Amino acid sequence: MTDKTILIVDDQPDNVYLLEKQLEGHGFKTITAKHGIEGLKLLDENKIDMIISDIVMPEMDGFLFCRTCKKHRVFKKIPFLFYTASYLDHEDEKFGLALGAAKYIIKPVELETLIKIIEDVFIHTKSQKKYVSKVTISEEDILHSYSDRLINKLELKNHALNTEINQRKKTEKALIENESKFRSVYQTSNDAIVIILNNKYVNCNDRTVELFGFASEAEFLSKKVGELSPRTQPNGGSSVKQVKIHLENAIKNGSEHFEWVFKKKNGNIFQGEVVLSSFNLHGKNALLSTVRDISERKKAENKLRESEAFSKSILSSLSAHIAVIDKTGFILAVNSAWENFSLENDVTTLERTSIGSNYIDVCKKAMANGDTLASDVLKGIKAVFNKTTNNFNMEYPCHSPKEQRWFTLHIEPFGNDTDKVVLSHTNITERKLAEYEGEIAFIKLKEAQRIAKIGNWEFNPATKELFLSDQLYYIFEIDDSIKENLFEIYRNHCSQNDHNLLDNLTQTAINTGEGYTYNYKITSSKGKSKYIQEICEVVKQTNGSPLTLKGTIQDITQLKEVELKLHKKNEELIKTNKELDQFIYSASHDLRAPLTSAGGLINILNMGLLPNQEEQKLQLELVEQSLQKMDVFIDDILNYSRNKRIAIAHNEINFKELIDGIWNHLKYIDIDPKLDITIEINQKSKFFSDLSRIEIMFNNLISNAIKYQDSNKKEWIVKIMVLTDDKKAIITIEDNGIGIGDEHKDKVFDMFYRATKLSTGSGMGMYIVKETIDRLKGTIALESTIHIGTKFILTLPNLK
Amino acid sequence: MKAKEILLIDDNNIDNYINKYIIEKMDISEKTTAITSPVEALTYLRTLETAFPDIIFLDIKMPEMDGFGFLEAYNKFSDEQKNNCTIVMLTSSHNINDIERASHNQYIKKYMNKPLNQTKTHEAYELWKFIKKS
Repeated sequence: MTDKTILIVDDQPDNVYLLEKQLEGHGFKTITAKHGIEGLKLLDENKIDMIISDIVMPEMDGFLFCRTCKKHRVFKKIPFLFYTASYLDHEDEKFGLALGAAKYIIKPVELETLIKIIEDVFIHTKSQKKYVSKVTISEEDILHSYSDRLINKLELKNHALNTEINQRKKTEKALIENESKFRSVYQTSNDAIVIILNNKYVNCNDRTVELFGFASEAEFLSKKVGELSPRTQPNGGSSVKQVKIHLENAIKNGSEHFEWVFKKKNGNIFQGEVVLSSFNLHGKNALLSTVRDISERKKAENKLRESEAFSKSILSSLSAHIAVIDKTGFILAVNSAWENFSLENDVTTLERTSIGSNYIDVCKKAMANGDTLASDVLKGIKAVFNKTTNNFNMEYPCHSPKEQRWFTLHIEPFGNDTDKVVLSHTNITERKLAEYEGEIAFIKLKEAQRIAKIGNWEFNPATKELFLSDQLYYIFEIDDSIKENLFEIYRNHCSQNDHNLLDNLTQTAINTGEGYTYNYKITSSKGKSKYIQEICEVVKQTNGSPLTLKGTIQDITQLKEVELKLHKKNEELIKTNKELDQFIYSASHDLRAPLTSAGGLINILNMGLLPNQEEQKLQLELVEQSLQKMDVFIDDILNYSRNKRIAIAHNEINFKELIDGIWNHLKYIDIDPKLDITIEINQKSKFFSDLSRIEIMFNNLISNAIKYQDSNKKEWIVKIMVLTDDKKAIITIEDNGIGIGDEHKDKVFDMFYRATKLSTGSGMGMYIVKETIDRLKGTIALESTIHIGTKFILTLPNLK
Repeated sequence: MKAKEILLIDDNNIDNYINKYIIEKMDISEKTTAITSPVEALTYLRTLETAFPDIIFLDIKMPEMDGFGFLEAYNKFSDEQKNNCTIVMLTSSHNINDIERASHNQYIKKYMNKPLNQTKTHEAYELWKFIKKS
């Protein structure tokens, strides 16, 4: 089929060219004509197998061309195909086919489809008459339809033309505007703009002249490209060589962007940013070069880099968790504390997330789970974004399973950037715990004050301002709403006398800096009598803070009442004691007086006895013994009661004199010549104690030692030893008498206990010794073996 | 050398009897006067035109006025009268306060516990003699 020749008729060269190439690609030969007239001419000159024709053409359009062909004797057998992009109506197609066209093809159409149609027409040309059919409509109809189609088409065309004209006018206007805009940009640009053609400067704007320090555009244009640079660039390469490479690259790639060091006319160096872009200027490759002085920017950049590093390091060093989010909630940046927090916390109320997560979503999720805090946070973020508030602060608990924690959330705008906000979470647990402890301590203090009925006060003498703690309002029963003139009110609760005294005490405290303690009686606002203790301390003036008085007031009514009762009791006791003393004194005298009288009578009876009246003498002796026994008993009882009641005296004691005195006194009692008494006294220092009490004790112990001797022994031994120092005295009284059985040792100090029938005493002696040594805060120890002897060891403290 | 007069001041008649009996038996005084009340004793002393008794045995506990009360009144007599009078306290009191008080009184030369016997009487007599000599 390669010998087929197709005539293409179309006035658009592009269309023709395209179709020509397509058909040739499929082995067809083609001949082209610009319109129907030319087509007809070519039909005459060539053997044509198919005509493909456009409709809209000058001279003769497609429809007329087709009609002419179909009227021709020979040409009518050649298949005629319309190929159009403009007559698209169904009526157009109907008319075309009625004119005898084999196909009416509407552009665009797939190449394959087109080729298929062409081949189909060729195959069936012989068999199918329709492809070469005659004109099926009358000449009249043709004319009618044609003019219809034409008018229709013209109207459309006209409309399209009007639209196009308008469009063009607009474009033109825009172009003019653009042009002037560009021109003004060109001239007013802060960048130097230079046009380079053939490695020469051909044009430049005013800024260029100014930037490089020239007097005129002409002076600048006289310079060679690359001449306005130092010999070398910072990378060490030659400026001239590198300029060449940049220019070549720009032409080759369309554009080139680089930084460059320039030299001004005066030799000053500056850093520039250069953009070269190639463009067609009168058919030649020209370059538009813009140069921007970036020295300042470079400096600023360095500064920015430094400040950025500074900010970053500060941010990282902060313990607060900081993040920047945009309006949608997207986390743009976080500091390291934020990241660490996210890492170490699995579950938190306000879940934190890292860069790329959406903070607002996280909050919404938390809200859905019933977290009310999250909704507050959202409100806060919104308020800061909407600028209804400058910043938002919120404290919230965020307890982990391990510990109690509190945080504060602070939201504020990200500098001047209205699209971002900064969130910072700060751990305030320590502060919170301290506050909490403070609160507890305060409550405890109040509780303690309430229980102790004690309150504290503070007074500023300069302003007469007085602060009273709650408990003091309660003690004075002052209405706790009263704050004015409180000092006067408080002071009017006591008597005029105490009022004056307190005024003096206060003034003295202010003058001397020494506080005071004063107990006095008040009448509360509700008329109750109370005793209070007021303690005052002076807080001295320091660094401008005025001198103040501070102190406590305690309700000591109960204490005072007890004290008064006690005082009364004590006075009664003293009285009773005195009376008792008087009674004992009288009793002792009155008891002893008849005894001594009886003793005197026996004595004179004895005087009157004759030597042969032995029997009577013995009888009188027995009476005398009974009387003596009674006398000792009275003495013991008196000693005991005296020891109980009378205060301890502090006398200086000379043990030698004391024991000698006792011994001399005892000598008047019958002393057996077998008795050998040794007294060893080693008194190193002055010793103080209660002389009469010690005398009573010694008297008892020594007389016992003498009294309870063993009649079976040849020699009776009594040994008294005293050893003193400035702390104590140790007294040992030892005998080789009858001894005390173990069964009696516990009881010898009991009242009225008598261990042996040999005892002629009252059973009070050892009891008094024990009582006395207890009162003197001394000790007594007993060592004794029956039939061998007894040893008492006394230790007495020196009461100096 | 006998005493001219020994005065006994004691409210207890029995004691006065015993004391007087012993003194008279020992024959150390030409006269022994017993008075049962210090007030009466003071009156008696005031009536004396001659010297005061050589020895006075004075009890402490007595009704109306006690021994110490007597001594206060006694203080008002002239030194001339008091000069040769030796007062001995004779009492059944072992009370330490009484002993202490007696020891501080310039007129009491001796403190003795009842009952009086020959030894004690002798002691008082010897004391009087010693004072008189010196």
